[in-house]
Amino acid sequence: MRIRVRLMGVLSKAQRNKEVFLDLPNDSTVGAAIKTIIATNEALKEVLWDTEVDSPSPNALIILNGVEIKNLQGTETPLLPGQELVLLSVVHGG
Amino acid sequence: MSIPCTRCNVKSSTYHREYSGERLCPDCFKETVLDRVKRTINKYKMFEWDSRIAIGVSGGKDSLVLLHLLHMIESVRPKAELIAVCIDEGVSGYRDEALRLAEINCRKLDIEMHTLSFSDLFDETMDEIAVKERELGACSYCGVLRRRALNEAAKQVDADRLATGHNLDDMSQSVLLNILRGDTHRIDSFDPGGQKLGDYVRRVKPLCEIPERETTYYAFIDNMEFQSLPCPYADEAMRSDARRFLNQMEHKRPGIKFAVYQTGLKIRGTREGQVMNRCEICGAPTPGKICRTCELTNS
Repeated sequence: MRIRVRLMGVLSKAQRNKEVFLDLPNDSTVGAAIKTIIATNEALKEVLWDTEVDSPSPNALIILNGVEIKNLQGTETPLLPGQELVLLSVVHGG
Repeated sequence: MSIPCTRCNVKSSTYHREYSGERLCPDCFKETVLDRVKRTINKYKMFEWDSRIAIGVSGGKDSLVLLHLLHMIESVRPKAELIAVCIDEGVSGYRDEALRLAEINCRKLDIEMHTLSFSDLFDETMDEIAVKERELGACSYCGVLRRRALNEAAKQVDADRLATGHNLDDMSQSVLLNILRGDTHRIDSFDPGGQKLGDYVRRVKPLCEIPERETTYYAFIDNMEFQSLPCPYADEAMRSDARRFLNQMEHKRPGIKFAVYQTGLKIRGTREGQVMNRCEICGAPTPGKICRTCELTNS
């Protein structure tokens, strides 16, 4: 399945693009999508991922189709084709 | 499956406020942020009915959210006035984008904008300071000079209040940092409601009880444009450590930032009997002989 990822604020500079499309296996979760996008981008990983606890940084706001993922099932939230994931760093550019 | 908003029980929730357990729809989220800012303003008696309020606008999300909220809150007080004051520190690229965002938002809300630059005030830009040999990190210089510049800008527009976009995260980090540094003077002056001290315009922090996640989410659902460039001189290592620690603690134990902030309010002293001297160089109020701004600009 294909989902759209929108990067806002400093994350768009880290990725050098405001949006990307990800092709993922059908049973993918939000966590899997984020791991895919940071796998090839160290700058993005630094801002978005907390390596100590191996999960998204508490500084990151992750929004799936307008809903913040803490209001869903967190990184375990299943994805559906065509959904939009917004990634936003809380602290930078404040 | 959507979860209904715990406040209106009509719309679907989009945000889970972990420290309170609320699940809120965008409209209720914005209303609760607005209500809390109003309560904070009243609690600290931040404004008079006819205050002329300078709002420190950096172009970042916090100051833009503050600009929009104060515009809503003060619109019911016809004698109150808002003026945005922006400081151009002279950081090429970074500040250009921020000032552009500030200008767009001020124009949208029909708020006058006044800009003052480091080079006007201190004959130096941050770009020039950053390349010099210096004892302290760039953030230490910028913070002190920016604070003075905001005060000067507020004075230039005849404001009687200076509102800044410091949020709960900034406040709780400051409490923790001052404890770690043993800086009792700064703990004593921890005051979101501010005070008129000599030539200093009273500084108030209406967002002091709004977590940074919430100012960010507010800016997102209000479709505000975000700054995309990080400050090239952001190097405040100790504050970054405090931020990371508090974020991790908040993640595990929601509400910890409020607890640290409340601790700061409880342990601060009173300013009664505190003697402020005049800086021997510039005349600004200071607890010592020379103010911090003069110490840094003359070093």
